[in-house]
Amino acid sequence: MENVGVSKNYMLIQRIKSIGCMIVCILLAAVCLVPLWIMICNATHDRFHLSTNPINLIPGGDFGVNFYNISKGDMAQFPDFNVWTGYINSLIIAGCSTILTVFFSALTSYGLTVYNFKVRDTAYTIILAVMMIPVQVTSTGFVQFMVGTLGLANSYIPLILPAIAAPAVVFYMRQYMKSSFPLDIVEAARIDGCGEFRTFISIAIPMCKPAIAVQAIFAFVANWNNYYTQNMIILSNTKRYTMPIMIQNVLGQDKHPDAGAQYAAVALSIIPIVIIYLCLSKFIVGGVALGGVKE
Amino acid sequence: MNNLKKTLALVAALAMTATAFVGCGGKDESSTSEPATEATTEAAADESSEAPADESSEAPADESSEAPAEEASIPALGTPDGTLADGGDALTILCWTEDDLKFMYDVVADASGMDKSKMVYKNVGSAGGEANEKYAQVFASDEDVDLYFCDADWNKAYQNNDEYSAPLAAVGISEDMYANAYGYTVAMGKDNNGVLKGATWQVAAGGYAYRTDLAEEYLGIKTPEDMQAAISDWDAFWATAATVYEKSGGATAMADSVDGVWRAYSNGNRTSAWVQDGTITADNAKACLGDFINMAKTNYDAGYISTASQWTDDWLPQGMSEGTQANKTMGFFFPTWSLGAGSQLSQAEGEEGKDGSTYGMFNIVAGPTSWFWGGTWICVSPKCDNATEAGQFIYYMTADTASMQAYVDAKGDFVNNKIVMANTVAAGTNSNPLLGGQDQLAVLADAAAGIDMSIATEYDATINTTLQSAIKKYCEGTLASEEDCVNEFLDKLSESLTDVTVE
Amino acid sequence: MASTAQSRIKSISYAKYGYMFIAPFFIVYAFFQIWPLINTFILSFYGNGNAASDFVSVENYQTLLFGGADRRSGALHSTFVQSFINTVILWVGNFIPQIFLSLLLAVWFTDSKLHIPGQGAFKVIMYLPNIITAVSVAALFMRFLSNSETSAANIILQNMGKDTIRFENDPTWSRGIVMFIQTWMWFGNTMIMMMSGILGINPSLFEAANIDGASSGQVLRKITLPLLKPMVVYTLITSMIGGLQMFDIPFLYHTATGDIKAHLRTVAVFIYEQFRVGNNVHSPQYGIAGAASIMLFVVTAILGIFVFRMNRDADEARKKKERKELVKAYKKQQKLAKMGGID
Repeated sequence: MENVGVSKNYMLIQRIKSIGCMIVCILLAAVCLVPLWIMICNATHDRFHLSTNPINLIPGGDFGVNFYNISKGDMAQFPDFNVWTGYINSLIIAGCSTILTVFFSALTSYGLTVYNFKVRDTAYTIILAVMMIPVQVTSTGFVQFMVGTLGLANSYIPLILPAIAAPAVVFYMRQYMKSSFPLDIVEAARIDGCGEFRTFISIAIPMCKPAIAVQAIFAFVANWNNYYTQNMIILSNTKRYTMPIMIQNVLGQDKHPDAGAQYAAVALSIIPIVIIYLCLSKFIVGGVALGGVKE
Repeated sequence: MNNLKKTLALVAALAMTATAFVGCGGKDESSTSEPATEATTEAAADESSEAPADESSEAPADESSEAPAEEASIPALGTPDGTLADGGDALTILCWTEDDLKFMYDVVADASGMDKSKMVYKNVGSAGGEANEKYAQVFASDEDVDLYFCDADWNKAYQNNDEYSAPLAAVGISEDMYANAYGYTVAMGKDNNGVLKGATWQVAAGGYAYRTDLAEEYLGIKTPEDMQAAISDWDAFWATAATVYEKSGGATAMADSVDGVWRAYSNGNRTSAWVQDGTITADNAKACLGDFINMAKTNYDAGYISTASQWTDDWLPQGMSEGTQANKTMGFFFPTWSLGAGSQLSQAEGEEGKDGSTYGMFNIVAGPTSWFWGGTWICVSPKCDNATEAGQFIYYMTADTASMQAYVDAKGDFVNNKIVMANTVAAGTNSNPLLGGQDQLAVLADAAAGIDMSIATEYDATINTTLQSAIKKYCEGTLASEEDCVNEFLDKLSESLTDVTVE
Repeated sequence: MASTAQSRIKSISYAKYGYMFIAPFFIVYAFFQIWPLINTFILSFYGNGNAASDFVSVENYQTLLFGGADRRSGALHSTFVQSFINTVILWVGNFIPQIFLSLLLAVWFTDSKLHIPGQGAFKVIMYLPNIITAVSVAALFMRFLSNSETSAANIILQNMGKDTIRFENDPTWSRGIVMFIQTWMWFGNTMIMMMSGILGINPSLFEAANIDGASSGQVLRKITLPLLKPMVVYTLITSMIGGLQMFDIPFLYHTATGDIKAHLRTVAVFIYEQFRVGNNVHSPQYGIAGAASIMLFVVTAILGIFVFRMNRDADEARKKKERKELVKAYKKQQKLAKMGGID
């Protein structure tokens, strides 16, 4: 009897705890969602309504008008705005960069974790050091070299290839491998006659899935949103404009700004990435659950 | 009302014809002279509209007697001198807004027979100073650029740099083609060595656009003439502001923003160049500022200047009669390029028939000072590979009377051609629905004739933004005193100007 | 003993694979980043604007660190110092709530006993803000809280009959808002990282703890936190680096064109301003920008090494020592063997 009482009490405490936690989570989720919800609602009201009601919690019916005004009519915010071009270009850049980033980061960190060679620690220290260099300054030299010397203006190469070297991701992956990648498994593979590269592909990568999934999401998002570098490389070929560049062009319109159209453009830019994220997030949860071999 | 308008137009036309001579004279003489001489001529010209002696000597020999106004004949477009490539794919124009270009394509295509599809633009899509940054990137990139638009605030920086700009002579444009142009536009188009590197189609004279309904309600003023009389100088302007503020119960300011007042003051009352001998001295800065800081602070605190900043969301909705910014200002300091369809004035009025719209309820007057704001020059990139087309574009947009007339008729812009403007004003054909049918070209003709940019420097863009920011800090109470304000201004300026000593 | 050591040393023969595996990273890095970096270092010893080709030795460093008699040096010095202070304030202000929130949530979401209903949805929602471009985020928050009279907060204030607030001008407000935006954008990201760290911990440890009747507090202190250390170190380092280079939001949070607020100007914004903004496009101050970035780099590196050393896995250090000793012992043996002194 007593025992049952204790466990009931215990259950109750757990219950209360989890409800308390849920309330905190609901509040935080609201803080995350409300600004975005307002933005989406605002995207469905025209500029006249917005000039008097800057915050809307109920969607209106003017999204079509706003969408039209982004690129057409007298009030066009940015005539070259093309939502599909933007999506596809951003997708190409973000997709390719993400694949390169996670693959080569995993490769590099595998090399740094599994093998013991002379310059290993030095190499790792260098990676840590380069992580600390402010992007703002190297970017000048970068742009001058890419655009000036190599003539790669409007090319995607300077936006995609550098993704191979992502020091922060390497650092993360190495930390992850150190804590949850048993080196014995490599030895075992060698005994079984598995080549080094194959070991990496068929054993290390599946085992590092959670880390790769997390970093893939981060890399994709970072590249999708990377306005700073894209803006310096893609200068004038509007067919190659990515979503952030288009958005910035819309938001930069100050001769005749149209708040409704601007909200609509921002909303359009985030909807696909939200969808992609929702798909990937399932994969992440699954990937984390699979977890790889422990011990 | 109609009579008044006609009289006004006539007066304006007369004034223009008079000044046309002045402009011509200054120009022809200065074609080989140093910019300094040019500047003095211009300054002299702008001081008095009753023609000084040196301008009557002007009329070129081949002047045709049938011309409606005293039109100087313009030589035909020359041929490129061969220093620039020719035969490129398309004439590419770099710009930061395509509003004007949309009209230009038709005008140029009609006049020159050029294929419209051969004209393309690259819009960097940024505002003001940011466009300047984007341009630098495009130039660094070996992108095809034949022509580019340059704002008055920073065109000197491009013209004085041979990496960025080629002489107009290279595309067959010569200075004598601008005999009918406003003199200052030619002076501004020259680099420090007196080489012509830019030409403009527009003259950005400024005025004060005010709400007619509020003027009647608060001031009992019914005509632009009465309004002009009430704000004929700054003292009168602020006195009227006091009345408006009082009658409106503190709701309505007279000026739309500190920035707007500064634009008018800077280009209307300032008589000294900011940078002299590569130096900005504290004394010279004070001379340039005059009593502006005090004037701004006093009237800002009194509620006579609105708290909005230019180019923000607060700014233009002040012109509407409903909404959070409703009736916050009596009027705006607007230049010619703010008065057309889709421009700032139409933004300030809101869409016709919608709630709070003040469509057509504005009138424009010259305002407390004769001023101007900016203007855009067309320059030729040294990498231009369409020299012939580039020359045609510049010629038909900035020199040719017939095509410029076509542009005025299409766009209603104030063009850089005295003959065209005199004819347009005299014909009374321009009627701006945003101004209730008023002809802004007639009102601003005097201001246009008086524009003097001899004190412009290539650092003005930086100076203007730095100053506006410092003064707003003082007005908004972040800076405690006028001295702090001046110090902040000079400190920030010294940080960003490397080639100028700030003392 | 000897056989372990032998197998350890045998792995050295795989060293060439190590080089092969890390080669792409370094080749790409050298090509795309190293030269600009070296260039920055060189530029920091040269002049500014039109004088960019003059070698000025350490003058730029001197100006930034100690100022000088003329107006320009004094102004640059005080702006630079202020920008450093701003950076530290803004970083601390967003890092603490961020790490606290994300750690708390990560522990909750991974606690097998604590079943929070709908936690999958919460995870997804909390990461959402991070996927939006900083440009859009800044534009969004400017509509809510800014100098503008038409920003939502000011409209509400006006409706309540109160004076409007110039949120950007007030250092407390504007810094608070920037900290909030940064936290808003990044806590979900950090949370996911922490979670993947926790899930990487061997679950049998948690099971064992549960069987032994450990409370969740004990589990947190004795298992989760210690084993999460590499992840916390990672977060600390990346966040510190990100914080010291904080750029987007402080740079974008202003209504009027070009009106970057003095109390929001971070070092990265300062650097950017020196060579990119406005008139500086034509006479970029590469010298000053270079010197400022090198100093930022040095500070970041020192802090990074410090954090790293402090949190260095004691375990790893011990292992290394052991390994060294093994190698020594093995070598000794070999030597002895060579000398023919086997047993």
